Amino acid sequence: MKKSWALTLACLVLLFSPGLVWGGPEPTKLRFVRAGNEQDPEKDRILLDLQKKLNISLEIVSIPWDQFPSKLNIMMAAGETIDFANCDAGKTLNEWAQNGLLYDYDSILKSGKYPYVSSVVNADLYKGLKVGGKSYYKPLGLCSQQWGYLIRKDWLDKVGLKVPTTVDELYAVVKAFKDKDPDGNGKADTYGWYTRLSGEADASWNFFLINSVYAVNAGVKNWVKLPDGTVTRWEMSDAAKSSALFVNKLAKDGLVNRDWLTLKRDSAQGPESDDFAAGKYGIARTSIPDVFVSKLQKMNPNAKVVFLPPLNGVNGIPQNSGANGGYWWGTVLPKTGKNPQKVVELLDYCLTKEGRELTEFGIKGVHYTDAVDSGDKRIYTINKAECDKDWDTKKNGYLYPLTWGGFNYYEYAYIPIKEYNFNYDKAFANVQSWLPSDMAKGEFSTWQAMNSRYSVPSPMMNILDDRLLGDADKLLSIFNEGWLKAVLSPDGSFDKNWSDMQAKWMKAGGADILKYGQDYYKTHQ
Amino acid sequence: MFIQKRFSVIDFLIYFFLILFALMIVLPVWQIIVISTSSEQVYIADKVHLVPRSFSLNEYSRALGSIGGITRSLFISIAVTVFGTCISMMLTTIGAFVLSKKDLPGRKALFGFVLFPMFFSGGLVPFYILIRTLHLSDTIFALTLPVAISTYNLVIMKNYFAGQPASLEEAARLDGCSELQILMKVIVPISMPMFAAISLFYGVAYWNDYFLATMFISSNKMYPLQVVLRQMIIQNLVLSQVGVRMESSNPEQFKMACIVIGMIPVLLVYPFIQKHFTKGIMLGAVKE
Repeated sequence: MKKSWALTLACLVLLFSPGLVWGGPEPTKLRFVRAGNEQDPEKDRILLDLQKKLNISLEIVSIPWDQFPSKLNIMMAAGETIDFANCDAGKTLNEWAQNGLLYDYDSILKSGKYPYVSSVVNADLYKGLKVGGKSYYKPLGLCSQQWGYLIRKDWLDKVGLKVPTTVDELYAVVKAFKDKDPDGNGKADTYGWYTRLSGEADASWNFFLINSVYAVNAGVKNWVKLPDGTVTRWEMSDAAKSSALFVNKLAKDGLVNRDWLTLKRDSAQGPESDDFAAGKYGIARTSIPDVFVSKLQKMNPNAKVVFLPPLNGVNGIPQNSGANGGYWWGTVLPKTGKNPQKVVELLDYCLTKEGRELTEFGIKGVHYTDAVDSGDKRIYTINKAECDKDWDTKKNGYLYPLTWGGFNYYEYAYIPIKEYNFNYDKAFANVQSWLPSDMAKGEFSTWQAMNSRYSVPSPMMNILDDRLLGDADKLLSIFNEGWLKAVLSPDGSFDKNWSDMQAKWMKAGGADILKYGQDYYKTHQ
Repeated sequence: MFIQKRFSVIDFLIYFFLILFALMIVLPVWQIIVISTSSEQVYIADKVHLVPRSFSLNEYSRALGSIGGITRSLFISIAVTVFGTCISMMLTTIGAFVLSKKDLPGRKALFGFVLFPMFFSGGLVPFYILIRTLHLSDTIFALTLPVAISTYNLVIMKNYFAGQPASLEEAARLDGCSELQILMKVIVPISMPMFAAISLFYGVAYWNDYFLATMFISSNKMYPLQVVLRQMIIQNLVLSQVGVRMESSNPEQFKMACIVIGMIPVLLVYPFIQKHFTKGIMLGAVKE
């Protein structure tokens, strides 16, 4: 009797154990910390599908964008359970790695089961991101340049000039846009060069088109290669001085909008695109050209805008649009998490063609009905009504919010890692644009690819060594102050102001950075 | 006899500066409303945005129609504000009443104990760990209990109570009132203007709070309005930075619509509380 009871009990226990009832092991719980997310893993059909495929149960901890670094830091310091998190590369990441707060990817990737993640963290492009020779960070790939310039072609025609290719031609165009009434309204109400400087971290960034004539990927904190094969920081280079001198000429000749020092730059490019649409200026730097163009055409249907390629460089400098290092944010595996292997499995899946399609457009037959290859693009026919049910399309458009950030990368594209035999560097150079049908229209639908053609990284890019940065904030402030003083100098005082800035910069720790950087470059180039 | 006062230069200057001051406050708010309700074309073409030349609720519909949960967040903000203000007023009143008693043993030490955290805090990480350990994260309590007593408000209230005539309390005591009854039946009714002011301080602080929510709330379902609105604005910015094209909305106009949505509830409540500020404080309370 006792035996039969025991047998029945055992059968019941076995029957109701989750493994048997659901035909597999319990889903692995993964806690993901990211910024600005609103997906609900319990309702969102795409996340439900993803969780089912990988047998995981996701909890997404979302932190508002502007509080993200500080809250993540507190969570890490408080030892809170986090399986994976997005974060910026740099000093904090280095400290976490050095203090043993992160799993390294290398030991997990040893098994060879996750070739996609392996190809990313071991890519040449990102090798500078390793800490102590180990990979703690899986960068989220972003095209090497999403910023570029637009120019009003109808204005050029009106003033009888061509798209500028040299710095002298640019000066002529800027002057004509200011003085020759390019909009033909009979009023002198257009700017030659338009910019908004207030609140800008790197003041000279607003003149990138000019800077890049004199150096590759010119800008604060970047290194410039010198003709003798050595390197120097942009702030100390003759290139920066030449560029500042050109800006000084623009300012002295009254070709820059008069309120450029007080207007605040808006990262969403709202006021910039509004002023472009209002016809106040004709040369714009942007990462969202379609927004600029569509606003402009609403105001002036006859306006014509074309891509303004980077200008020809001087002294052997190639035409270049800079480089952002090929990533924006990345994924780390904090040691408070218990399932790093499962996280890497998820990340690996999301880098596959199937995973990318799911995280960019959703479920086939539900969120999109068709996908057609058209030249260098793959165009998806979106089922808007279904997308509206799963994410905030008013806020994110018809690209699923995990298209950018989150698990894989930032492009509206597919990085063909498998097709290039898991050579990420090659795959990243051959990204295929994946677009929803309404975004595939227009002259600038392949804007990022267009710009990336001119993308050239500067020396020592993506190297996260604190000794290359020094007291970055202090040095930046010295450069900004000195740069401004120099470009606003009246006749004759530019050289003195520039030398003063450089002397201050060197004294504030710049000299040590230069020495360390030059030695580093000599041994690692 | 009706005496007609002469309108002097000084009067003119006073009116001039008062009007100027009023305009400095009213015009930006008006401009925000005009921008948020203009059509995109009119907004771009207009330079000063003071005269409404078109009317569109496009940005409001985007903000309110978001499935990111603006309606839910509105209710959370209301709940936080109402609950927070009630609990804060209750605790602050009790604390201030006790500390206003000059014969309270250890009063100075107690007061020092209350004042100390106004100048020195325990640090963010211990604060964060404390809230998590108490399992308050992702609840309305995380947004209210840690800031339930503002030392500043407590000091104002304590000084106000201490300034009341002792004879009022003595009279109540002679009539057989307990301390609690004295507080509820005598002190509170004569302190309504002060209560109105302090509850407004608390209410506005809870309504506008952003920091606590970002620290202790991790679920989208629990975010108050201010976080959701800010999130929507910043999302625009981040999307543009990485090159995601969003054409459905004008960021500047959207920002202004979010400001209006955020301030309307406070503007609606304010007139009802304002009348208390102008009432006499001790009118007819005691004859000495």
